[in-house]
Amino acid sequence: MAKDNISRRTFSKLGVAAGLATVLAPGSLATLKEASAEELAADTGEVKRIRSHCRACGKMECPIWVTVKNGRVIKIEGDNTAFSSHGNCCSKGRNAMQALYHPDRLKYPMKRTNPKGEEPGWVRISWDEALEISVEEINKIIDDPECNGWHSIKVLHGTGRTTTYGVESFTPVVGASNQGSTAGQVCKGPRIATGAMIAFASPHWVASNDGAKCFFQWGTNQEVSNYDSAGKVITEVKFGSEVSICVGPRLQNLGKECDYQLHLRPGTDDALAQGLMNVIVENKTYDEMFIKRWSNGPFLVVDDLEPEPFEWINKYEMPGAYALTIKTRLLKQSDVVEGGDPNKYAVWNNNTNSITYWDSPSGLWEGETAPAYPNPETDCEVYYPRYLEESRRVPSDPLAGLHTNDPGFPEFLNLDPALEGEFTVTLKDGKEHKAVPVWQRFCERISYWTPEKTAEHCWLDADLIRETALAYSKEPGMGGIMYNLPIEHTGNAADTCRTILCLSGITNNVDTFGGNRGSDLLYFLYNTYFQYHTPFVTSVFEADPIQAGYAAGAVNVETGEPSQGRFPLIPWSNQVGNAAIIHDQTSCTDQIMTGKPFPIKGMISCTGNHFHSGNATANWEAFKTFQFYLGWELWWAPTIELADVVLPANHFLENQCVRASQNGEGGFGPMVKIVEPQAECKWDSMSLINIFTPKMKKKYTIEFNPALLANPIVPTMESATPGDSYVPWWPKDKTNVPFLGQFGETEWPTDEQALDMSVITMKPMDFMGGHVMQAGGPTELGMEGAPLVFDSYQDFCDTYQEHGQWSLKKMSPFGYYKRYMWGWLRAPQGYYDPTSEDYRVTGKPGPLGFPTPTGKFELWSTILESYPAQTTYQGEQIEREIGRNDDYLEALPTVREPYESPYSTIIPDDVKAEYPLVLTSGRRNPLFFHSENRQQPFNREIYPVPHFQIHPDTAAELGIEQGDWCWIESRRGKIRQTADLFCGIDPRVIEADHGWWYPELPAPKHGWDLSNINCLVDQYAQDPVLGASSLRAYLVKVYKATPDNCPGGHVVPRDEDTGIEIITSGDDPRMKEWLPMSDAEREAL
Amino acid sequence: MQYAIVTECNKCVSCFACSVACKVENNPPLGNHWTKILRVGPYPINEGDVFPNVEMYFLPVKCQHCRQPECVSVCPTGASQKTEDGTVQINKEMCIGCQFCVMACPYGVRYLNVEQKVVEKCTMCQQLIVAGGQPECVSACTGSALHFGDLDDPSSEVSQMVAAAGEKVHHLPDVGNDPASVYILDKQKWRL
Repeated sequence: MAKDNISRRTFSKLGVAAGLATVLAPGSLATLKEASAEELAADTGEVKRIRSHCRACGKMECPIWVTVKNGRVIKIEGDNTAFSSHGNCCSKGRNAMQALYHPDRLKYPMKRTNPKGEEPGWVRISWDEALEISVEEINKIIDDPECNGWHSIKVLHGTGRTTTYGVESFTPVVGASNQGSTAGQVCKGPRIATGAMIAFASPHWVASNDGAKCFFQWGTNQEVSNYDSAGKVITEVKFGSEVSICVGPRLQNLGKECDYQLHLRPGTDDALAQGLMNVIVENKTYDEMFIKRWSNGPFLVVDDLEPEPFEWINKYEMPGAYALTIKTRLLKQSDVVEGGDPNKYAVWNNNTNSITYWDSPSGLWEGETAPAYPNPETDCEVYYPRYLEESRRVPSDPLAGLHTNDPGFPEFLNLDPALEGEFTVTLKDGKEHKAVPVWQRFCERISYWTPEKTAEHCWLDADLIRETALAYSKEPGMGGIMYNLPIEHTGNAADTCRTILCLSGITNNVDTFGGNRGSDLLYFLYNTYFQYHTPFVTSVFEADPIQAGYAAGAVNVETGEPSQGRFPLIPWSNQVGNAAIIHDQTSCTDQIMTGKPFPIKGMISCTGNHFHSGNATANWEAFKTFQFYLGWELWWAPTIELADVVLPANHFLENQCVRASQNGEGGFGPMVKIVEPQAECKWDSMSLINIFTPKMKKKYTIEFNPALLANPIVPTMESATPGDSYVPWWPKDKTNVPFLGQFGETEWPTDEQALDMSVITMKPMDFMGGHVMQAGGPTELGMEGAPLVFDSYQDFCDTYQEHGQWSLKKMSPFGYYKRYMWGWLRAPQGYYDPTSEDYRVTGKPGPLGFPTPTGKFELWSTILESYPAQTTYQGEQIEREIGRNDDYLEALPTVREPYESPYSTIIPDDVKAEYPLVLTSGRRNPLFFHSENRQQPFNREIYPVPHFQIHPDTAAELGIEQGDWCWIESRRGKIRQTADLFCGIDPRVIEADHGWWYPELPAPKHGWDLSNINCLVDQYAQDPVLGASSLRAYLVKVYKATPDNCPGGHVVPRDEDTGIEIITSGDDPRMKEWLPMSDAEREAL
Repeated sequence: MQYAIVTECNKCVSCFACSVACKVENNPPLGNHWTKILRVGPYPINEGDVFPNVEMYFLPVKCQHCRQPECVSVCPTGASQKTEDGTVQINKEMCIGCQFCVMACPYGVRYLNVEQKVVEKCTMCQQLIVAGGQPECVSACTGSALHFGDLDDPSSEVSQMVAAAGEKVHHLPDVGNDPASVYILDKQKWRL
């Protein structure tokens, strides 16, 4: 009976005797009991405390301390010295041991023996046999004359963990365009890509721990979410702010504390953003200098201009250069004079009453010969977070940041670009035309959305909209807007993202201290090549960019032409994709089923599942038909039960790699391997690259661009002969890549070699402008920053144990803001010119401005103007646009009614009557990361069954009481969840949990179809630009589950075949079996 | 001396880090929750208000380490004790699992450990605080809402917080047991 007490006493003594930190030793109590008898006997063993990074959710980079006793992880806690996380460690991180040591971890390679869709009958095989089968079967598909080589293999991965890097590196090597991360298209993809279209990639990431004056979260509850600053940082920043705003349909956990809470109708974020800007324009509380000097607001629109197409390349991300064809009605020199330059954009100079040009490629105004940099002495000052105590307000503090005040146009230019007015210009056709500044057209577009009109549309109060807009624009630079997933899920992803970004832009909150600073650029941050790209390979997509156009959604279904499909911007979006490489999930699933325009017959996955994007049921049916499916996994999750061969993947505590904040925080450090992998588990990423890929036949056949073959910095091309070529991960001859020299002739690096490469690239060297990872430039510590140098990955880890987290802000150009004023948002002009001395140089600043076609923050999007949005739904022409009283279409922000809503004009009234409620979904549950953690007892016991929130009045009308199992049904499907009566939600709206499956139910489904909300999704209700499916803001009905309307009369969901019921409470004995225990302890149960 | 936890309710975002950290540290049986989070509301802000004029707050609830603990009074064996540091502890070797204390506790935070046939509850992480540390829930709190200290020491951080909070200070309902733990609630109306 007193086992617990004895352990506690014994252990307390041990802890004291060992003289360890007080918080460390006793923490072992719980896991001591879980340890085996042998481990208990050897209780005097070594206790180690290792500094690392957490990866128990998909996105956080929380530095942690991990305590290991007798080789077993017994405690995980936050590192309080970490400036980026403030010591945060959430329930998932603290309990990561229950995942690491879970009895159901997948530990050996397996192959199936039964047909797909049945219980798979897994049998254990060796790694060799698993690889042999997989190589043969994948080659069969690639060789299949019906197929299109690697394009006929879908590549899937889960949320960004240590599991994604392999697939994202592997696809450009072999030339597989159909990579679709589970989440990319509905998570970050649209935010990253639209950011890249109008400003720079990933501006949605706010430097939140800068502690801005205004705390502004939109479509997110980061206090319990999974972003770099989630949890502790966000709550501290909120309580340290001057004013706080929260936009989201429900009363939220931290949102409830905000000054302005805008509980809008799901799917109306686009209109609200325009409505807020409307107030700001009316009150002239925008930042005029930013608009004049850094946006394309003063550029001139000529309505009757017949645009001549020209090519534009985003010289921004490596590798590759996917050219876009720009067709714009903005006035260019090429429209005015024969032989003029299409990259010179006209503005009207009020001071001279004439046109003057901005040259986008050089970032210079007419009359300028060199960039007008700010003066570090007079224009710069060091900013500190509002919450930072006085004693820490020194430039060396990791939280200090260098702010730059805009000195304005150089005086000698005598330039004051007009934002309003109508001007007459003579074009090269000899005729006079009317020209109007973009800003005026922009203001006209948003003028539709008065506070009253917006309030009616969004189900909000007009005065609340007014007050919010004025509070946010009280002065320029109040703070960034944290805008997250929901706005990508309502059928207007690209436009909503860019509209909110415009709101941040016109108030001067883009690339600012505490603003929409974005992450550090791939272009400068070398370690991310290790993660997401292969730095020393000329990828197939770079050699032949059109190959990327074969991705589902980008390829034309009828003609098979690449990049001529419904979503032609997908291949380009992948190039600026960072961690969100996408194809169109809906098109891919259709392609798997129809074989049009070519079949997709196989899949390779590194985790990931079928129910986070598109319609879950349709995806499942498609994945069932794969001729061959190879997957790496940690668990017997539903999707992997459709695989042919399964390989066991490492848990994050068994892996290591470089970690850097995604946000603008600039946190940096290693994830350290804490324990050896169990049984036959391997790091999925590296085993895909260094074990599987080298065994594949050299299949890729393209004509490589001779310019690339001649390029000395692409040495791999020497061995890549046209015709039957194949590019290894590293070049055999490393003469031209000096820092790889130490690895000899290795073409396929071991895990250790790859890790070493990821840190030695930080050393200054005579290559790529003198810096590979770290470049010079102003920081608050001086003009050159404080670069890091490591000899090996081990050195990196060892140094980290003492030092703790590094701040990339102390290096440059990571360290400062307003990079567009310093030339650190664009690559040097010769970046893609093999004959230029700046060819592939990352170590020096490029032209001023933004990496967009116009070189400006684009209020008028030339890319969206050039690639018009889809106007069809399931083959029919539809119109969802509201308030677009001009014909500028996508050039300016566009509001669209969700496909299925009470006001939709594309569905009949009887549908609205039958499905009267608007559904939203995806609320973050702090105990689970999407579909994860359902089998971890300490998480699941607190929240054993799925919930949906419904207003008590609505529930009463439907006869629903707290805790009742209910059906939620759309036109596509129905599932069951339990009712949570919550008056913090509009009576016309419900909010349902996402990501549910039941590990306790048998294979192959594990109950995913019982409660998973994405069974209800219309996969064709897509964003017209990037194809993101409407995972929210559609119509449903709700009714109580009763014996009469449930299969077999069972209200509580159960497996139909076996009759096994789901776990509904924390004391279900099956949960006990999920505790980490020794075999003996398990048998004794 | 009265060790206690002071909770700034407005900063609690119901992340459950405290609940899970407590499980990891103390390992109570599955289904037993020594610290849990209650959602209070949402309620109309003023009578007759409707959405969106509603408010709510979160309430982390665990043993209140009462000054006049009823659980101690009813314990037939003396297993439940009020200790010198003000915390209420259970001597498991004396506990017979009769559960009188479970019934006597107004807050439902005592649980029977079925396997060991003893009653258990929040110990304020005695094993940590005797060594100078703080309870695991306090260390884990992602909202910095939980604070640990001695309420009988006027110079302690918690005493000063309580003094500064004035009328914002609340306790769970007192039925003569005088709960020691303190809740500070700003903005919303205390509704217990």
